[in-house]
Amino acid sequence: MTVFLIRRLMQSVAVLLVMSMLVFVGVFAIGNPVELLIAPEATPAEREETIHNLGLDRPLWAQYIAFLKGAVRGELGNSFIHNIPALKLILMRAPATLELASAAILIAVVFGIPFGLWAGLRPNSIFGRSIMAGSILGFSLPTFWIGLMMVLVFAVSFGWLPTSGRGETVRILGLSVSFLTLDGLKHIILPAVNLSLFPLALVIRLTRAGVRETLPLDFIKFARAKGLKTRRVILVHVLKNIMIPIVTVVGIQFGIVLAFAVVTESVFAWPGMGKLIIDSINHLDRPVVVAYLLVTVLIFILINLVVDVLYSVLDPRVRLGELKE
Amino acid sequence: MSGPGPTLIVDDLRTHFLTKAGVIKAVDGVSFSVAPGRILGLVGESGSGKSVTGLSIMGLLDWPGRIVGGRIILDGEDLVGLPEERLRQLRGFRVAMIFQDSMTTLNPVLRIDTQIIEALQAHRAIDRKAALRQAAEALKQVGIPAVDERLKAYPHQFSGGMRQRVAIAIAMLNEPKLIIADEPTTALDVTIQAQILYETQKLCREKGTALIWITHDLTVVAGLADEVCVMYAGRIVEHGGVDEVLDRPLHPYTVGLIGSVPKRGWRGRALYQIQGMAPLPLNLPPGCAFRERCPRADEACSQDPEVSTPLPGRRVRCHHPHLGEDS
Amino acid sequence: MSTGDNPFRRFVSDFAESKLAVGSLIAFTLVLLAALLAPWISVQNPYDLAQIDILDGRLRPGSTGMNGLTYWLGTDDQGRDMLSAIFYGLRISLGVGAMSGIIALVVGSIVGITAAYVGGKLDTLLMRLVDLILSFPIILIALILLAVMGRGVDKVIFALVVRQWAYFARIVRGAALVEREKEYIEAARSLALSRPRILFRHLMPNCIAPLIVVGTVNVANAIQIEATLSFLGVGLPVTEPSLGLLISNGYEYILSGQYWISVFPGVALLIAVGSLNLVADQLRDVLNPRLQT
Repeated sequence: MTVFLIRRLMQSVAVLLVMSMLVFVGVFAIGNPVELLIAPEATPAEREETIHNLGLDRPLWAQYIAFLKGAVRGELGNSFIHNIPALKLILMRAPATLELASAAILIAVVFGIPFGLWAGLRPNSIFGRSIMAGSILGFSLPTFWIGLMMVLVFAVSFGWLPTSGRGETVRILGLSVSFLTLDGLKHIILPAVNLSLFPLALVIRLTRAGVRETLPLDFIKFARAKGLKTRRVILVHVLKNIMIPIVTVVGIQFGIVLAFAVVTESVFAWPGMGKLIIDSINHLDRPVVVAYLLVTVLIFILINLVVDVLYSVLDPRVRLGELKE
Repeated sequence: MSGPGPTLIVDDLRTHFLTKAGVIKAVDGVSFSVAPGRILGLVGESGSGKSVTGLSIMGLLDWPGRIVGGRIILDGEDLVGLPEERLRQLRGFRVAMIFQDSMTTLNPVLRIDTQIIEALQAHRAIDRKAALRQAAEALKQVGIPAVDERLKAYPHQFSGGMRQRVAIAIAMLNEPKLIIADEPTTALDVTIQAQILYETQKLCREKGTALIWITHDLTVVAGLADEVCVMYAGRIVEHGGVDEVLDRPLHPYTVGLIGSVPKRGWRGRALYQIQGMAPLPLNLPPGCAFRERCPRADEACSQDPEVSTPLPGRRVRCHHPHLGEDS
Repeated sequence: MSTGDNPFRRFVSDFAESKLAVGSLIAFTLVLLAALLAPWISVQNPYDLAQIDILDGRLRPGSTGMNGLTYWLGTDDQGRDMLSAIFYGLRISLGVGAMSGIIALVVGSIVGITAAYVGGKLDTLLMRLVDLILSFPIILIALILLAVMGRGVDKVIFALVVRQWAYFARIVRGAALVEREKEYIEAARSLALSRPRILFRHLMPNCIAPLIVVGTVNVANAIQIEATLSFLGVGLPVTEPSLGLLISNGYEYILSGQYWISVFPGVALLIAVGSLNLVADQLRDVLNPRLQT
């Protein structure tokens, strides 16, 4: 188990290095680093100074080392627009995105698993079939357009909910969260539901597939042969078996949802990392773009690592070895 | 209700599968009975309908299978047509089943104690501690060492033989009147198989449990059962006491089965092989299903043979049974 | 019902078992036709400045313009007929989707076959690369690449291909590995058939089924992602107005109730992507050997 962990950790570090190299090459070698990292309004003298400061006149490999050193220390340059360290800016906006992503995943799981179970157990019922058709819609509907429609219907036409922004926040453990206030809830509902549609569809389909694959297996027949109530057979025997792949997929989905938050935050003007990156791309605030890149890649690698570990912990066949005879 | 009569009476059972390709008559008029404490061997090749018979008795047929006729009388109660809830009460309580592959019959992600305790709690009000004690007792009874450790383990940590013992322990937990064992030792190696056969036989005699042992292997039946039913293409073609049938088989198919088993003293002689392959019971033409492969077949065999009793205690379904000849 | 000795006929009849899938296929064909025939079926070319009149801007669906044209789906802020704009937009959206799908298929197949036949370290390296790429969501990769490269049709297609080839590589490699072991490769080789011939005649039939399913889903995804990127302003440039751009144009007018500028292009997008996904779903069920009883 520990060998496995160490191996995965080393793999993750390797991936991180590779990604950092790719980012570096992408920004510093392919793109024009002078243009990318120096504010367009700088005077020639300032440019000279910045070029020297950033070491852009040194050989590429030396620049990469310097870049790495800076990255590890958290120094990724200052935002052109906001004039504070890019990393700090991103970390300031991160909690809003995390809150939104968590809410979306929560909705996806809380509704997805029961719906998927139903669709798997009664595939030919009306409800079962509409769940499946609905899940295809979840994949096909472009998130941003649905967001627009939601704003149109709920905010503009009916006027029940606010059209954009984040509501009142409350600080817990140093983080501001908005779901604890009624105003905050009103603001988070639409974007969270919007963001949840894709993972919801996925969880439904996954659960249904899992149920359909597990039901014909022998141990289900044996469980019924023991005279167990159907409810127990489904909720304990079937569910526990399909939980393992579902948990891992949900973990991965969390990362994807974090990335997709970019779209929802743009539509609903939710002040998170996603909106920041879009604004930064459009305003050519490159240091923020680079910082976002690295932070997201790091988060991704972490999530993948956690999910891998989780899988081996949850599946007893992987976790435990053979007992002595 | 449970008097000295047979534990199980199967009367003209018919189980059909309605598939896109047609109707598969997996079980086509099967009748037999088993008395308490007696062991019946149900022998046949794959596709003969022996497993489906067992599943029919348990009521565990998968769609598109259905019981379309006959009666299954367990301790005086006809199981055919019973509501599902009553069947559920009987399963694991009055009648239990053991399957072939123990690795797949135990749920790989649940602990052994969980899987034993739930079998108890499904049928009576018993708290977890008491159930745990009973589970430990049950495992000891089937000869599993280090019971307390084993209870907390998962199925993949056991060997095949041990897992099958656990399955047997679970089957016997609620002291059922009838146990159906569907090829439980086929996947195990010979020595373990012999052990399990012996132990199962002992338990059944002790508790007066009726046992149906489904297998394709005659040698298993020889050492274990009191009576044997030979099945072919969904029907019983021969039935009688084990020793009598093996010493003096009447049906050509039984002769073929016995002849294809290596025996002492047969050294150097070719084993007899029944020509051809067992037919799928799909759209079978009328007449004896064994016709194509039978060395004794003639025009009379294009009529369905009736069950006859040429000798006391023996039933056979054949126009030309081996009577008064050497096999 | 004859089970049909002709596998193609059997495939068609299996597919037709789902009315929903057949309906979706028809819907998608209509969408495709609309896209291909756009210049001929639109009442105006919405990007020919001579044909549009800004005074016709933001007219409600069904209203008539200054030049007597009926705008069935209304007009946008520049006075363009929404219906025509949607037809042209479909062209671009479908074009980008199909193009990226085809290129990804070709690139992925080449990599997959190479990995399978060369084997060894190259194979491991390539498959690790595949795993790495697939572990990141496409929107992230596309965003990153476009942030660095800027906007443009070729850049968007590139960004899509960079991730999507990995799916195809995996499938083709799997099938190629199976084929490599099979006896008739030996037989064919002993008959001195050239390698490409072997690959084509023996390999392709095995991968066709999963490739079709994945390819269809892929194109649907590509269309959707491109729309999302264009909506966000990082995808196609303004000169190539895909459906995403149309929708983003209408964003600001939603709050004032002029919904048609965003809603109708979205519906078109929904039909295109949704029908493709439904067809892919049925294809997957039909072509999946495990589900065939």
